[in-house]
Order: sequence, then structure tokens, then C-alpha cells
Amino acid sequence: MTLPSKTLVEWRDCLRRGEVSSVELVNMVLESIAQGDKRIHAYLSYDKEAAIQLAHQTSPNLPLAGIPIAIKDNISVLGQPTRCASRLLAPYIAPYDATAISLMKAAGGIPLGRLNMDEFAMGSTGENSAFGPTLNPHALGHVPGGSSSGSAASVAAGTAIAALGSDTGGSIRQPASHCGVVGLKPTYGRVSRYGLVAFASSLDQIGTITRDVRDAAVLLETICGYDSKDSTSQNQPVEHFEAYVGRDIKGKKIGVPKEYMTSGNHPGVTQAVQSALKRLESLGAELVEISLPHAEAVVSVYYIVACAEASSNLSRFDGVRYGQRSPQARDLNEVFELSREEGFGPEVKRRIILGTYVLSSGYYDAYYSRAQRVRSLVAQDFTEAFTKVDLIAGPTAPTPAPLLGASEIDHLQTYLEDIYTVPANLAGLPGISVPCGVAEIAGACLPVGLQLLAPHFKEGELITAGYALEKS
Amino acid sequence: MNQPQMDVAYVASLASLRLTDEEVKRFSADLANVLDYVNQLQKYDVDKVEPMYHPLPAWDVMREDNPEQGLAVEVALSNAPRQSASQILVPKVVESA
Repeated sequence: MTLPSKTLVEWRDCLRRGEVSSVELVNMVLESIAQGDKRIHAYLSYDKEAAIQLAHQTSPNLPLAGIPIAIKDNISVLGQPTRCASRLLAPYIAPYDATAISLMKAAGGIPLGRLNMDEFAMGSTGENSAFGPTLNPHALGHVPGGSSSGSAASVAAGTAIAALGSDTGGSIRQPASHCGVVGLKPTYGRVSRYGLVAFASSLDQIGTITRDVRDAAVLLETICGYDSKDSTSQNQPVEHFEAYVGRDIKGKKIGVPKEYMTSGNHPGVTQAVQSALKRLESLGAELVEISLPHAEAVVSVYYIVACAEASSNLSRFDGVRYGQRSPQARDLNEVFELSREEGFGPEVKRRIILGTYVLSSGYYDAYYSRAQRVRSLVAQDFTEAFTKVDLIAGPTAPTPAPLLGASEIDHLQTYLEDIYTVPANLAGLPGISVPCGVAEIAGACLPVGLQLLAPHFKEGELITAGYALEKS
Repeated sequence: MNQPQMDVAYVASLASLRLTDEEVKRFSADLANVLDYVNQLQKYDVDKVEPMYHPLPAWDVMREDNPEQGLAVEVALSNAPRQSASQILVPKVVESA
């Protein structure tokens, strides 16, 4: 039985009307995965028994009503493999639930499936998975984006109703843009990072990948909240984000950074984004040209800071307490050095090395310290802009989804494609990518996303504007 | 600023990574490009700018000093590559006399 193409909210309503049971829905999604995942390889694994058991225990009266939600492989789900798509964690089964997962389960969401990703969230194409890349369902020769490659591809392909992902430099928003779905990264500290395998602790956030903006609002609400187990968690009241759907955007000021609308963007992206901005204007929003003077520094700042933090966070993967231990290791040093050498892929190694270098004696001031100071300047650009506008808009990515293999040719060029997404992580701002059109690249028609950014804790503004764009 | 070449093998050893010669060569080239690019940060005047280590800093986050239940021993060891008697086994560290 094929899975009817419904949003999370539509399934919620079906479940509440008794038209389908949670167990039936879980089985329908499993069938859809069995039939449709071979084509795109979004799933690394799934546990039918665990999901059915939870489906028997749930209730349609809960906010998520017993709906199965697919989970990125770096978010801990008790009893499930949590491998971050890395050979190093191939045998690892999570002994606890991430807080976001506990909250999602309490709200009636059923974790179903472990989604493919770039290894340890390092990458923007999905090609850095140790278990093979995920493909873009719109054009199989193209990447789905990353690092939440499986999350975006499964929702786009209809083999997941909704998914959780993580975003450190754009890893939710960019694959959502490349796959034509909605990706939302909350304000830093909005969603607990407890149970999210850390990549860069000052940048990481768990967020949602959904078919539409209303689904994002509903799913986001269930995973937010202060968590004493995450010392960077913010004590911010959880809002009923669904209430922001359908509100008026008349009079809202939308800043469009001139640095984001250059000829460096693919012309199809420019066209789709400009058309989207005009639609928002016709609904009563006021477009304001703004400047983000440190825009060209963001990729440099990001790669120094993220790699530095990653080199520290990934030092726990030493073959001792969990994960793959090298069978070749004859002494303790070899346990560390060979387990890591054999377990990590090349991109992870590159970033650990870069991060170690910029933190090392003699280079710390010139690189890491300097990057964190320029980070303050980047954040200030946004604080300044938000005194004049309510939202900031632009393309999520400068091009549509590239071909598989393109990123291997030029790593730096691939890093530069993060230029519009990393600022939100550096400044801790919430951001959403909403599909706004298509563009042709290498003979294929691929989705384009519009990114909206809001001040800290103003996810509601993103929901209102995102929904207005969706309906226009 | 004149860019010294990164000694990739040395930095990798700091990070407990035993790279192959081929990897040292490949990563040296890859990272030289990236370092060259990120050097553009030198042009910014940051003398009077505070570093931003966290976008929304939370200072001295504490909890009450009440004992809490952690992971049960079997659970904590459930992913250990080698274990015995509630301990994780690793190769001998101390040499025999």
C-alpha cells in the first residue's frame, strides 16, 4: 500500500478522526521505505518492532498523535544505532534518548529510522557518509545537500512524513533547499543539545525538516524547552508556534542584504528568490536593502571555529569506551591512533587537523582567537540590521544542488557554498528555508530555497513569513 | 602575513591520528588552500573586539548538589569494545619489571 502524500498535520487529523491508527501508519511508512528508499538511500536502518511497540502505546490526543518521525543518525535514540554515518561508531547503540527525542516521544512522536548524513555532520552534500551517499529524489545524479542529507531526501521523496536533523553551518536549511522541503534551525539554546553527538558546541542545533511550514511549527514546539542537562540551554518559554501560521505580514520589514544578491549566485536562484521576494511584497511586506559588511568573512570564521570545536569534541572517539577499536592495536597509543585512523573518513580527518592546528601553540591568536573576534563583528552586523528590519531574506544557497562528485574536485569551493547559512549559526539566530521555485543545472530542474532569518527567539516570525510565502 | 607550511604529520600526531604518507601529502595540499583562504581574516581590526565564544552566553550554570542516578554499569559498558568485571579492558599500560 503506497503512503498517501499527506503532511504531518493532515496525518494528525486523520489519526484524531480515527481514520487510521498509529500502528497502521507506521506500517505504511515502513512499506514506503521498503519500496522507495533503494532509489535514494536516505535510511541507514530502521527498527520495525521498536516503532510498532511505541505505536501501540501512543494516543492520537497527543500533539504528534502517534506519527512516525525519521531521525538523523547523530541524534541518540535509546536502543538504536547512533553512528553519525561513521565507521568509527559502526557498532554503537545509544544507551539513552536525546532530550529532544524524550520530548518528541512524550508528545506522541515515534522515532522511526536512522537517516543517512555526512559523517559526524561534516559536509554539505551527503557524500561524506561512510555508508554511501544519499541521492536527490528530484534528480538522482545530484546531491541532496548535507549534512542532514537523509532527512531532507526522505521527506522530499515521501518515505518520511517529517524528520529531525541538525544544523551547525546550514545542515538543515541547505539540504531542505536542495530537496524542495522546509528546514528550520531554531535559535541557539532553544532545543537541548543533550544527546546530539557534538560537532561544534557553540554552533550545533537540532531542528526540523518537514513538507511545509505548519508541520515545522508543530514539530518544533514538541522538541523545544529548557534542559538542565545542556548547560547552553536557554530558559525561554516554549511558544505555540502553530498560532503564527496565517498571521498577516503586512508592514513587516524584510531586509535583503546586498551582499547576498550578487551575480555570484546561479541565475536560476536569483530569479526564484527575486520572484519570492516580490510575492512577499505584494502581501504587504516592505523590502529594505541592507548591508552585512562582514559577509565575506563568514566562511573563514566558520571553518576555523567549527573545526577547532570539532577537534576537541571528536577527541572522545579513541576506541576505548565505545565505537570501533582497531584490531591492530598492540598498545594504548595504537588503540587511539589506529582506531581513529581506521574509523574516520577523510573529511573528518581534514577538519580535525585544521582545528588542532588553529588551536595549537603559536597559532591560537592568529587563527582561533582572531576568528572568534571577527565572529563578534559578524553577529553585530545582524544586531544592527535587526534594529531596522524584522526579518532578513535571501537565497539559502548560491546554486541549486550540484552533481555528485563535484565537491571532491574543489573542497574550498564546496565550503564557499555555505556562505548564506553559516552566519545564523555564528550569531545563534533562528533560520528557515522555504521552497520558492526551481532552477536548471546540468540539464536537471532542481528546487531553490528562500532563507529567512529572524532575531533570537523569533521563530514565530519565520513561521508567519514562511507560511505566507508558501501560500502565495 | 607569510604563511608557514602546516606540518600535517605533526599536527595529526597531536590529534592522535596516524596518517598514511599518501594522506599527509593529500591533506597538506587540501589544507594549504583552506589556510590561504582563511588568512583573509588578518585584514580585520579586532584589537578592541571581544571574542564571541558563544552566541548567547550562559555563565556559571550550576545545579543543586544532590546525588543523581547515572547510567547503570551494564548500560554504560554496553558499547565497550572489551570489558571484564565491570571494567573496560585496554592493552597493558605499565611495563612489566
